[in-house]
Amino acid sequence: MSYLVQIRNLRKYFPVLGGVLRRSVANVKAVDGVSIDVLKGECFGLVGESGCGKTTLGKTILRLYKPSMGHIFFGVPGDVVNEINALENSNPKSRRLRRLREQYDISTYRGRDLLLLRRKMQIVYQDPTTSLDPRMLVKDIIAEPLVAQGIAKGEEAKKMVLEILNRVGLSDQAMYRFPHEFSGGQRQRVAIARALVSRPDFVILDEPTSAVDVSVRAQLLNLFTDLQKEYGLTYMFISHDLSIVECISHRVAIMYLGKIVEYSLTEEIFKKPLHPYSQALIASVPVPDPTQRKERPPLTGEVPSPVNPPAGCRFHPRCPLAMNICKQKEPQLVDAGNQHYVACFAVNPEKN
Amino acid sequence: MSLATVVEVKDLKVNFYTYAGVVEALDGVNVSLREGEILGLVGETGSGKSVTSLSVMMLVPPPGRIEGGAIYVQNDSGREDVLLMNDASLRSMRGKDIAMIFQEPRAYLNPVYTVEDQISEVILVHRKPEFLKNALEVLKKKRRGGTVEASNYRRMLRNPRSLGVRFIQKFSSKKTLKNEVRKEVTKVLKSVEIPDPERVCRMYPHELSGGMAQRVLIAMALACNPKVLIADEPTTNLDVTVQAQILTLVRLLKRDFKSSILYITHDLGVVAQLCDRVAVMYAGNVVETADVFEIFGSPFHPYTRALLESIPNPEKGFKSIPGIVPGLINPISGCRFRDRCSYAMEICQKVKPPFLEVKKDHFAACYLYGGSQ
Repeated sequence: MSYLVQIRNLRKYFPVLGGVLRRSVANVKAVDGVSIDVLKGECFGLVGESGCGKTTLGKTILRLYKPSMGHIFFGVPGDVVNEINALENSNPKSRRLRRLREQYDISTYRGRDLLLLRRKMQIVYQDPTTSLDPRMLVKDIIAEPLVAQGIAKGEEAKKMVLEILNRVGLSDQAMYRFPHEFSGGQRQRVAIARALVSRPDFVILDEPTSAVDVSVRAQLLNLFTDLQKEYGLTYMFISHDLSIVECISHRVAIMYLGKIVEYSLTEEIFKKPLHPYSQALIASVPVPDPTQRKERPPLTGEVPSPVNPPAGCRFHPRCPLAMNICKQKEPQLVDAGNQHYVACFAVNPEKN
Repeated sequence: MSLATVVEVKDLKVNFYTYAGVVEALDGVNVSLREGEILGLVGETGSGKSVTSLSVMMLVPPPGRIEGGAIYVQNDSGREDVLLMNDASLRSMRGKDIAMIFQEPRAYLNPVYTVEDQISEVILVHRKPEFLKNALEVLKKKRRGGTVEASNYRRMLRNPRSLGVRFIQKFSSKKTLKNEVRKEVTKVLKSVEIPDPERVCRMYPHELSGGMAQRVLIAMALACNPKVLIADEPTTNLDVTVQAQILTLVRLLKRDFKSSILYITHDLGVVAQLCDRVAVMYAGNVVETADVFEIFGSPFHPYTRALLESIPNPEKGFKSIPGIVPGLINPISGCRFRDRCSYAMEICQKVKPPFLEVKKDHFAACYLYGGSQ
């Protein structure tokens, strides 16, 4: 299996402006040093509470935001990535590194390169009511990526729109309607059609089912898995709903306050979560079975502000296992065996 | 059942008169909330959960109108039909006998008033005499019983509605009264487990996080010790960890305040974790009501079964319910679930199935379980 997306030490800070001169007085560290690899053809789940930076991470990967630091590689062979990493450590000012980065690292792309790149990466947003232009006909909404990318226009574009429209389960008549004429589930189908019409390799699904009902949600999730098989897509599935992620993803990363705290195969994460935050998060999901009731909340308190995150491990103020070292040093993601990576001193003290 | 019902909704019909036509939002809904229980009202968007709860408070917004049925509410003076109450008694019922919390806590808090202002308003509307007396006592203890402030309080107690008193209320000092109310506000905030209530009192809604705002809203609802609490999807926009905290809080309310709670949600996980009984709604009808173990263990109605099967399950995947929720303008005849139902029979097209007690305390509206005659 080869990697489609490789992210190295990605950071995205948003400045907090203050004072008379509106100068940057602090940074919201939305994404703070994330490194993940997404395999070709898999569904990579990204889970976390609101405000932990999942959406920012997704948008930064698509270069809808310019990263503050770090590298994003898309469909780049592994040896190039390794060479860049090696050069970064040994000789950060070398010309070879600069040339390699300009050629392969998406975070340096500009203009036309970015446009071409976007043909290959697409996104489906959370709320189709706001992500679809209310004044455009569905046929124009779906054809827009084709026109913008110069892939097709006129009759040819119409044919492609029709094909994808039928594939996502909408009828031909839907072409000449406006988004408000559809129900929430159908609207999300339009958004999916728009994302897929340019035949991308990589699609970010940013909470695509949180605005629809249970019965419709199941229909959409089935559609996602069917489309993935049919078009050979790679997904990054961003969600706060763990039960969905458990069903649809192959691998899962759990994020807390801008950092990945644990990532592994889906079964590994859900059967034996190692990080205390993952354990609490999974225990918080209400189980639809009245015979398995949990009376106590597994976590107290709330997520601290990303402007001024706690020193050391960011989870330590809420962590039941917090030790002295957690307040001073930041734990690194360490292999705990069986493709299971976790950033916690309590789980594997000797390796940190 | 030995438990008394505190709210009973009988054959409630609500229509919305829109330009597109008459939306039959509720078509004969029957629900009863028993004393000290948490009743879960489950259904998809547009099934009429929220309209049912708003009807109980007589808050159905125009162009909606309650067209028939009855809503009996147990209050101090006995059983009363909400639909027949006058405005004054409705006003005294809302907030005091029945309180409500909503999905979007920030939308229901006034952004220009502090938390203290908003909670004290509830207290002053419903429990003013009590606090006037307290304030008078405090003044007496301080040997200031003869001051203008004290005499104003006495006047407010004696004749709260007279013009003169209303004038005094506006312009005289109410410091002692405010202090007394503030004590109560911090007490209520503490009861919903808000840390540092004195500080939160002075905050404006935008300074609160989502979970905190929901707690404030719950505190506001509890300020007058209502017997009935209606919670309309209070955790839908919150994170799972915060949701778990709020659910624990709701359990505590049931235990410590002996409240009866009508909990509206579309999340079956929450229902399983929290509720004692469940009513399942579909397209303006209650299709099944039973104990929570019954609903999850042996559901009767095909819709309930389909809903339970659509819960994502890593082993089995997810089954979806074919088709979509029918429109409620000129809804289909007979059973409203029939065109998505795999058991649909001929009779289902003609007559609406009656809501029958199939098993002891387990009601369902489906011809599979009788009622065809």
